[in-house]
Amino acid sequence: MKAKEIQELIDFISKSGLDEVNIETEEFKIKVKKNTEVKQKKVEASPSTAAAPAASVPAAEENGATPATAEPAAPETKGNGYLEIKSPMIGTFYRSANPDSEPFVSVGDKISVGQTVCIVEAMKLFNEIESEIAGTIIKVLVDNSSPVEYDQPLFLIDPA
Amino acid sequence: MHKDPIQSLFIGSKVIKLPSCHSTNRVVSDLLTEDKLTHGTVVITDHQTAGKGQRGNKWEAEPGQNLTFSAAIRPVFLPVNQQFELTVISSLAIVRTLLDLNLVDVSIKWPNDIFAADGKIAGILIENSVRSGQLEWAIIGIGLNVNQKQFATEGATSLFLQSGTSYMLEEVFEVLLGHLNAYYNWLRWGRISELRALYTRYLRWLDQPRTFRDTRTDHKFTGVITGVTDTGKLIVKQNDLEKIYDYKQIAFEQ
Repeated sequence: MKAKEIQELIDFISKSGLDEVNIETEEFKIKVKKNTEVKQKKVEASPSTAAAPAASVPAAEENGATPATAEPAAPETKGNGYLEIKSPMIGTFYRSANPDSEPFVSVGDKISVGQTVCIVEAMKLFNEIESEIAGTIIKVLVDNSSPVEYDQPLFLIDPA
Repeated sequence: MHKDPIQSLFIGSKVIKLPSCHSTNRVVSDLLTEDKLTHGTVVITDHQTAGKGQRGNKWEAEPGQNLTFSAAIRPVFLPVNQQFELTVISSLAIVRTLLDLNLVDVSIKWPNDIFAADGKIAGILIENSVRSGQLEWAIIGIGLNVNQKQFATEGATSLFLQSGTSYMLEEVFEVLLGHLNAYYNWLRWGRISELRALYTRYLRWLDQPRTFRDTRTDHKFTGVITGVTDTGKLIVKQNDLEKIYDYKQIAFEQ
């Protein structure tokens, strides 16, 4: 990195009002941090200015922690011991990240908890759906690019 | 969870600037996979070599001329079925930025394209990860055309083409981040109806008779956009009757 580029970077930060900027390329990593104004932080944290918002945050999060959708997305045991991954929302089901890329998962694949298994798209927002169960994909229950309903089973999983 | 809520809410408190990258949404997504990102981190680049639009569409941007960045946020308070609000706050942040920079004719082409006069000036690509039926992360990708003078993409425009002046990218970025934070806070405090009212106010073709096509029946009709539903569907009034459309069900005709 040239000295001029470093200078430009510092200018960028000072003009931007940002606290910290990281640049990474294959050759180098550089991290530039402005002096954070400790005084100002203290003021913000004082009860007179921050108590009300701080107190309300947990309440707001609690509301979100129990959305109507939380329950039905949970895996459900079928008679044969298989589990289902269900759609947490209404939308369009996609098996791959892009039309020309490989499916996230296919029949026979072993999947782990937290692994992305599909995308459900709603109103042009793209949702990567993570599996809550580990196991083997037995069946893909929905065709690529099809509409799915809330709580509709998407995959059949053998948890064994 | 938030020991320091004021700090932790700031979108752009940490910025990773890359001289070039394939797509800022991809970079954020990769960093999230490696568990390397904190709430509010923004990845910005001068040169997006494989900018993404909706599902395989490309985003065209000349190096160094435009804003292309992605913000990683954790809207854990937002139920998954209210995620359209992320489109609302992103759209409004861009609209307000353009108005601040003295553009006059700015509108939101439903659901998520920003127009200046008759040209598309900005696009939004939001990608979420959903765990246990909840939004775990949201990646808000924004492409805003600033100083670019010519576009291969038909119908695209830029701040420069609209105003005849060039802008400091840093300035535009800062203004945009400011508005994005403000509207994100509105969302946190549940000011949904106000957000919705503003979004509706800036809707392109609001209250103007237009020709639409129902893509399911190919039926053409004249109607008037009157707003959007809670989940972001378009409300179109025809013969005093309001009908609701998903974006795949309706097309705008010339």
